[in-house]
Amino acid sequence: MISGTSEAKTWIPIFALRRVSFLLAFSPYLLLYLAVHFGSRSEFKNLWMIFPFAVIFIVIPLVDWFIGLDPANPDSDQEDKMKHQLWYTLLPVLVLPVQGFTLFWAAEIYHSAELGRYGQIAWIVSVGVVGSSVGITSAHFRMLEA
Amino acid sequence: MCYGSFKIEHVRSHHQNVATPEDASSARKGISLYRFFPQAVIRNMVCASSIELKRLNKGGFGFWSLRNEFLIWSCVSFLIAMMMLGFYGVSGLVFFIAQSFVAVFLLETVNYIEHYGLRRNQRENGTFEPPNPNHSWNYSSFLTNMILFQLQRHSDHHQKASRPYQLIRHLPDAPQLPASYAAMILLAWLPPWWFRIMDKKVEQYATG
Repeated sequence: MISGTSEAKTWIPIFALRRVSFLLAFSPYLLLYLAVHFGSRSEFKNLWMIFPFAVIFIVIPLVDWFIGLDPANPDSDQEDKMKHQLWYTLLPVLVLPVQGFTLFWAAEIYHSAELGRYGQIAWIVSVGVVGSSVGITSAHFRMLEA
Repeated sequence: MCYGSFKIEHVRSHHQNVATPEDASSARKGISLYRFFPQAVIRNMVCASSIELKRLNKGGFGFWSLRNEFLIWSCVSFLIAMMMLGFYGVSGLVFFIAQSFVAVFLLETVNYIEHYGLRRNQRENGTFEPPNPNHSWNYSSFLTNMILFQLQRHSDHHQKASRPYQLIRHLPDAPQLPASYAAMILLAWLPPWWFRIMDKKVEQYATG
């Protein structure tokens, strides 16, 4: 359990931590780039294509389980401060160009990386999972803003 | 991602009809993901078309109008598909369509998880009680909530859909999942294990 969930004095660090940590929304995209980076230098190129999928479905739930729950809620003062900050507004907006660029880059990789059948399938699954998790979630929040 | 009906259905039906049989995106107890998925996608498109057609007819327009949001989003998908075909040939097109399928399948898996088995009570006159926090599954784990803009705090998201993601609250009394989304997705892909774990949870929350 992350400390300071209910004591009024200690709740500030968790919101500061979260503020920065929302950048992790871009980490699934990074996994795709890492997979290609390491895959192109490895003799197990096809196996590396499943790396993003494996991290998302194995490492992330384990880390979640290890860190424990983070149930803190902002109080109304904190909410007022957080409500209109450009930083929070910008993050999901930036996901769209990253998603768009990554999708075409990923197609280029699919087209040119000379992957085997299983490597191709693994790449399709990894790209689909990343786009679905972060791309759709950010778009989903933006379409409900109005 | 080739799912032009999603926005219409999600904003104008799911958030109103959540946890009732009328919602394409709420899974009833006992249905497996593999039975839920095709009917969720088809119902999503049928629902979105009928909502959009009603709106268009009110303004004096037909289905084949540039004001049709379903058509606009479908055109965007088609345009991307044609760009893929132009840049990378048939393999680019195959890649785009296949990854779209994966993305839509995952999206519907998450829909399945978010409201599985939770139902609003029906009143004597046939209408449903208003949605409350008991009608969504939640999990306040740190890492997944950072990556997914606190989507796992789902009950509060449904209390007020326009609430900025950074302000979505953890509601301790709302139904809580046993693990974060990624683990629950793996579980949903294995229906016998899903039923064994989740049906018990559903009953637990149904009886208070």
